[in-house]
Amino acid sequence: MIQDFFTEGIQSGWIVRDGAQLQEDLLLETEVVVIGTGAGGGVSAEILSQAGKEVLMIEEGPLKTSSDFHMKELEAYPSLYQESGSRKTADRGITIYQGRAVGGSTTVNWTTSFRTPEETLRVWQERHGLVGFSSVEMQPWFDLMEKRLGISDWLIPPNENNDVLRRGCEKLGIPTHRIRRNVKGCFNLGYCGMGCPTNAKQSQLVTTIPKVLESGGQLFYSLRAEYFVHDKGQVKELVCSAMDQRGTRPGKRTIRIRAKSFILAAGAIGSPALLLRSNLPDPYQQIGRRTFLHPVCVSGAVMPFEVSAHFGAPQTIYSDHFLQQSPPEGPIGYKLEVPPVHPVLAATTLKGFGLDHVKIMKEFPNLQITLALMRDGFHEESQGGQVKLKKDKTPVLDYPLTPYLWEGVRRALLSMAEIQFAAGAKQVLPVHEDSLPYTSWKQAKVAIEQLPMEVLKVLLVSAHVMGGCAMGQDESNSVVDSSGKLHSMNNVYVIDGSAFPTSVGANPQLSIYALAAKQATQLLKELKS
Amino acid sequence: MAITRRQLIKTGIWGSTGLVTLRLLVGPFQSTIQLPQNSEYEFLFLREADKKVLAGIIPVMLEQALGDTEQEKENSLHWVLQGVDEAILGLTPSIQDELRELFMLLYFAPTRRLLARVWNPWLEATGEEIRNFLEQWRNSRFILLQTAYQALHELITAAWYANPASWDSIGYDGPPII
Ligand SMILES: Cc1cc2nc3c(=O)[nH]c(=O)nc-3n(C[C@H](O)[C@H](O)[C@H](O)COP(=O)(O)OP(=O)(O)OC[C@H]3O[C@@H](n4cnc5c(N)ncnc54)[C@H](O)[C@@H]3O)c2cc1C
Ligand code: SF4
Repeated sequence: MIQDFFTEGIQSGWIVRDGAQLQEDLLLETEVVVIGTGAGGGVSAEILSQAGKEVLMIEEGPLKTSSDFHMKELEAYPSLYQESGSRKTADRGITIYQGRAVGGSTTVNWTTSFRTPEETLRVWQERHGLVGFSSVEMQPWFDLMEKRLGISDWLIPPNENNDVLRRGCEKLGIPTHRIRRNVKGCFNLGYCGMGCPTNAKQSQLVTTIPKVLESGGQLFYSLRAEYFVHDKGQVKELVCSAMDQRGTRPGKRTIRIRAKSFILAAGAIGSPALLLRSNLPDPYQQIGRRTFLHPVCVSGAVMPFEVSAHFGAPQTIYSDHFLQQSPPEGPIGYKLEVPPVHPVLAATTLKGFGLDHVKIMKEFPNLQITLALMRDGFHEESQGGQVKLKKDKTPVLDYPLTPYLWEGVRRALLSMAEIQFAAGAKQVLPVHEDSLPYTSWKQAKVAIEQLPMEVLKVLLVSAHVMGGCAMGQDESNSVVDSSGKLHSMNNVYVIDGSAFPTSVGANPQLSIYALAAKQATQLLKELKS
Repeated sequence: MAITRRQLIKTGIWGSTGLVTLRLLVGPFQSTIQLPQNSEYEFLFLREADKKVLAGIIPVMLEQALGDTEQEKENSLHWVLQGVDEAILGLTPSIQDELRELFMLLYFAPTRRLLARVWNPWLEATGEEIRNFLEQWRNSRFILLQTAYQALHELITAAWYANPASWDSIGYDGPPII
């Protein structure tokens, strides 16, 4: 039996409350409220609580711990993901995966850890005026967080799914590299996306959040932060709704929280949505703008051998070759990686129905899947999407798909097919409503060059939502300053992936951890003075 | 498809006015063919009419994946219906409303005939008719119909392949025991 130390902690007296069980309205008071318990929220809460601040963490999603993680998609998607894993952009063109549970997306993420690329930091400073974000200034924060979260080289050989990417690239002379991971004692199971059952993944659920609770901090889950009540540049109160038992709708109870400082870490989409609901001054209409996704297109391959892409550490090999071919400001570049492949993910991803679908599903053991992640937000024609509120005040992301992006998608589908054939694929299936399984690179090339690049035709997904509360010194194109402080309020700090002014150009978790460590430490200094 | 954009808008798919009218028009549900009853699971979203629509579409979407014998197929159908119901309950209220409207459009004979081109009620329609419907919506010029096809594809394939009963057929051993 794996020890479930979160549950043990609660038994030993951690202050953890469940909104869905609430019988009455409440008014609470604390020093610092942290809204959202993902990458940004967890790290910020730890730093503040370890310095003696009184911290209350708020989380809309449920509390699920290692003993709840049964490695079943049926349970994981509805309980741990936003909108059960089927959140979509306004025109339904992109499916968005985001976590929604204590630990946020880190509870379900795949443990891939990259530092923010140098050229991204350069653009943030040069074009967005960020202060304090040079690689030299960021270095100590990366070092700190890598140590804190056990980020290190992964020495076990890649699983077949990753190794096909490596071998295919090698045949074509495309360099690949190994991915570092935030794990300790990993069983190499491959179910990170459904919550790690062994507590090996160093997510916020097993690192920072327990630390906060151990030192007297509090956690309130199944509680949705709705809006801020503010007056004269100061937020006075946060109004929250307790969620109903199922967790999809607000229940009857309201909680009001008064605090000196508020840290907004509800993630991209979530953080700007709260600001929009709060009717804050936003003279340049910047809240929710410039939301980026690293839109991902997908290529499936049937290999002549077993791949078992559901098994083993999900991501261990990557290639930045197609990111490095031009500067960020040029034609869109993409990073190549692979996903873990489980039955539901495969079935919903693979196009077609009836016998066609049955046939390709029968190839499940031999399926290899490659992903291309587009680096959005660096070019004039890549301004990202905008978070808007629906009638019921919940957010939706309107992300227009531009010719600039489509050009990259076509190039990426070509690159992936070529690599998969080079690795020996029997068939390659670019994930597109009009595509067929192709049996040679020559045939695939001709076909992909003709495929219409249109919304809904091409499958696009994203597990990296960023931006929407962009940092910047100029109020006309940002929402917060370089320290994360809201331009319009004196005591609200946005510390999560929504603060990035462009996409990261690499899987974002470590960028967010380092950002949070830096911002929370600086905030602490300000609170002391 | 032969219908015009104007007709589509008038029909009010996902429009706000269509919903109320349809609710009144659909009225009490009747059909001569009965759905198998699953006594244990209590459906919280899908109503009898929605289940009939889905019971027509599911076997075409999944074909032989559902099993070889009639008994197997019937059991699988139950699972998928239940899985779809559970999945929808986990979606946001606004998406649930859209799906409610979609199922009503598909059930209600005039809109079923006009938009889906399926003449007879779902449980009496031929596999061929339903295949044509799926193919047409999948390739429709109307984004809304394409979206609806994709929603059905996602709900139905997810519900089936989340179910351990489907894993054998695709060579998935299930999660490891730790
Ligand atoms: C399936 C998947 C795999 C991924 N794999 C990787 C990977 O391998 N490597 C990598 O670098 N990145 C990965 N990511 C991305 C990475 O995990 C996220 O970018 C990162 O966790 C985002 O941090 P955040 O603090 O901005 O938001 P999150 O971690 O998403 O946390 C935000 C939290 O706020 C909560 N919240 C939202 N609104 C409210 C509200 N109104 N009130 C209260 N709470 C609210 C949410 O429920 C959520 O728990 C993956 C993401 C997913 C979904
Ligand atoms: S691969 Fe490692 S980190 Fe991921 S779920 Fe398995 S044990 Fe946990």
